[in-house]
Amino acid sequence: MKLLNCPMNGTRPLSEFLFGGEFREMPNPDTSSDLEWASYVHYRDNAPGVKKEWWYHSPSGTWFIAERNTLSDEVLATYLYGKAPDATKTTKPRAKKEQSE
Amino acid sequence: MAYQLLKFALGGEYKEPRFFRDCQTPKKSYDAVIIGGGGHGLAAAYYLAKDHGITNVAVLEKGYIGGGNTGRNTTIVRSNYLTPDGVNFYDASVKLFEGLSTELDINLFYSNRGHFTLAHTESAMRTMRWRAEVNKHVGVESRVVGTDEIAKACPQMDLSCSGKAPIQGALYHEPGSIARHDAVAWGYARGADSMGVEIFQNTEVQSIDVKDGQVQGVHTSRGYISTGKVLSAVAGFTPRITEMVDLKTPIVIHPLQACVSEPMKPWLDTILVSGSLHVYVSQSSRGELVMGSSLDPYEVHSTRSTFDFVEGLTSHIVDMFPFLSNVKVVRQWAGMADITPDFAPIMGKTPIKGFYLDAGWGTWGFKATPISGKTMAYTMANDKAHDLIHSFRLSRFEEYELTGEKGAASVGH
Amino acid sequence: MTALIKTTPVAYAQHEQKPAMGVHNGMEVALSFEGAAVEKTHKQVLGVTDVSCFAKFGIKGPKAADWLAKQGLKTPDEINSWVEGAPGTLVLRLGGSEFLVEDQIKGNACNGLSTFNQDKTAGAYQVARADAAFILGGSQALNLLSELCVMDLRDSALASNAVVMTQVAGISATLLRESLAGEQVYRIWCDVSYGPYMWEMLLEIAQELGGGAVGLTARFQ
Ligand SMILES: Cc1cc2nc3c(=O)[nH]c(=O)nc-3n(C[C@H](O)[C@H](O)[C@H](O)COP(=O)(O)OP(=O)(O)OC[C@H]3O[C@@H](n4cnc5c(N)ncnc54)[C@H](O)[C@@H]3O)c2cc1C
Repeated sequence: MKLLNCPMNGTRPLSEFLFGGEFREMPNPDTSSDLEWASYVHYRDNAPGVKKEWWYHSPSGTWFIAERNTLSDEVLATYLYGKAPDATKTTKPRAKKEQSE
Repeated sequence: MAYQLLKFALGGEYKEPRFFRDCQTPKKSYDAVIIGGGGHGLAAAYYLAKDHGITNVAVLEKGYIGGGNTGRNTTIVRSNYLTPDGVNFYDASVKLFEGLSTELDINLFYSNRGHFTLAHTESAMRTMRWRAEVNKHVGVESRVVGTDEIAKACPQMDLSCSGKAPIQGALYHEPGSIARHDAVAWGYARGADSMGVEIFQNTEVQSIDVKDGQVQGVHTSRGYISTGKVLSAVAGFTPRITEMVDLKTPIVIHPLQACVSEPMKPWLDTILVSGSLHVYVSQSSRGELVMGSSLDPYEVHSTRSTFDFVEGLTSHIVDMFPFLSNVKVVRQWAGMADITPDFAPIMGKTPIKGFYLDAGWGTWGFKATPISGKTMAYTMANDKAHDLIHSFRLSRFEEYELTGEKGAASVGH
Repeated sequence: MTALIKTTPVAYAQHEQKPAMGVHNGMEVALSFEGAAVEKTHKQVLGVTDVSCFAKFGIKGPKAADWLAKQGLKTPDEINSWVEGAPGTLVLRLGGSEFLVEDQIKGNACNGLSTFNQDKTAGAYQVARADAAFILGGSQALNLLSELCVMDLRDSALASNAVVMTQVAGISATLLRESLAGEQVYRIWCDVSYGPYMWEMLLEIAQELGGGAVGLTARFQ
């Protein structure tokens, strides 16, 4: 059973969580162009690597951020939005270009 | 026949002819390079040569041909989609599939079974009626049937699904079929090779050279190849290729898993899909039950498989067929599905000149192998998208013209 | 205007057991199932009681705790914990700033809370609550829970004031343990639409383990 750590509720089985997709900064809807907005809605950096993602603990209704390697499926950190631990840099280490199989 | 077999057996030398040449050293340049030796890449190469006379083509495959999703899918071929554009496109593919064994001179074990999408709720019935009307409108055989017809086609099924989700009816699609997936790759490979296309296995594309918005060539594990036209047909690896040319797409990779049971005597004629129970099943020509489910719930670029999957899947299969509770699962595996927000593919030209994309095939691309090959070959040869794939263009997302196929593709692949 | 009598969300799943129904706190619930003697043994082994009729009040926001305190209720200091906020009334802190107040059989705090006025209360928001709620007790209770829940709920792992939001029988639920007339019981809340399902799951296993349904009367005797 795969486990994930919810910042509010502790370590729980993955079945208690929902994946909310990659975290992206929202452009200002009032000033962004149509293309910028469409890019925000649809286009993403979808290559494998360490990503910031939204996750949701459904029994408690908690949304939080997970930093996860989408190639190896290792979770590096989880925290509430805006409460990133200091150690976590915002730079994204690129995953090694190795085969996943 | 018997005599030939005997002669062959006593002949002492059993060397099978190769399906295609064992190419090792690529030329310096090709008219077109295809990344990915799955069904889609090989079919595109075949139709480039056959329909457009373009034979100076290299197919580069980093593993072995058909080793990607082409050899991992559950081989369902159908055209009962939800949007008219989708139905027309997949219908053209089904028609090509029907004549493909003859055209490629290889037995694809193409087996027409009939395809039931079971509805367990009134709202599911509504979607079935909707799909049936769209299908009929464009001339595809689909109709809503009641439980009596389902019981007749599959008397072994518990129509109440162990009391948990009684079946109300189904969408029946007569052309629904299954086939031998790797043979499709091998058949196209042989056909393309015989017309001059060169297929390189164990050859990985590592980067793509673009200058002034125009493709110049590709760097591979066997050296640099210059070319003005590159097709990316790499399914679950698409984000790694689009990253090489700095192209962003809405594709997200989720594993999709499947498994087979031990072989049994033939008892299941039809293909059954249940959206509510998240399972589908058919019986292969080997007698194994081929079973699958919906996507894994989150993004992973890996072909790992999980126990959660078999556990969930088999409990629902047993709801439908209680007598299977003692049957063993003998193999389980996963592929990386390239999922789009509207469950329709992304095909055609891109903002980079000479870079063509055949992707977003997610859980539904096996059935499209022939038609995607044909339409992508046309698109590359003419540098102009084929009419059938217009609504699958990459720019549809920024134009907010999505092609909503989710209702017809999320569980039934 | 006549007062509206609600029916417990679990009623549909209880029909076959033909319970004697009665009204508590404006809701029709099962008072007894098989008679005092049988239910008394079930209570000792493994008894399941529907207490969806207990009055509830939900509130959240940065000022929610302040507001509850102003109404004279104690609130838990730690996240995911509970206290008896007033005699006979539980106050659960769900995560950081959300609270569930529930009157027990003799509690009477929720009535006063219904005066909450959104326009006059900045930073606190009422949350409509209509949970299905259960009491589970008896010597086999932990055995039942170990079949339905992956969390370690033994006393050594589950603090006596802890609130756990997890999955029970595959659906989201809130869980705690408390002492009721000297007996340790577990409380389970889940979304009202899953009430009948939860009742069926709990009862099926309770019966396998030698227990059964316990009505409101026998539970609080
Ligand atoms: C479990 C499962 C069940 C499915 N069931 C069905 C079904 O029932 N019906 C249906 O229609 N579809 C189904 N699908 C979807 C279908 O399998 C795919 O959409 C389809 O096979 C894609 O074919 P392809 O040729 O585009 O990709 P693939 O067959 O994946 O080929 C891509 C190839 O590209 C190669 N490659 C990747 N990167 C590089 C590189 N850098 N250089 C060189 N080569 C590279 C890979 O090694 C691979 O061989 C299923 C998929 C899965 C995983």
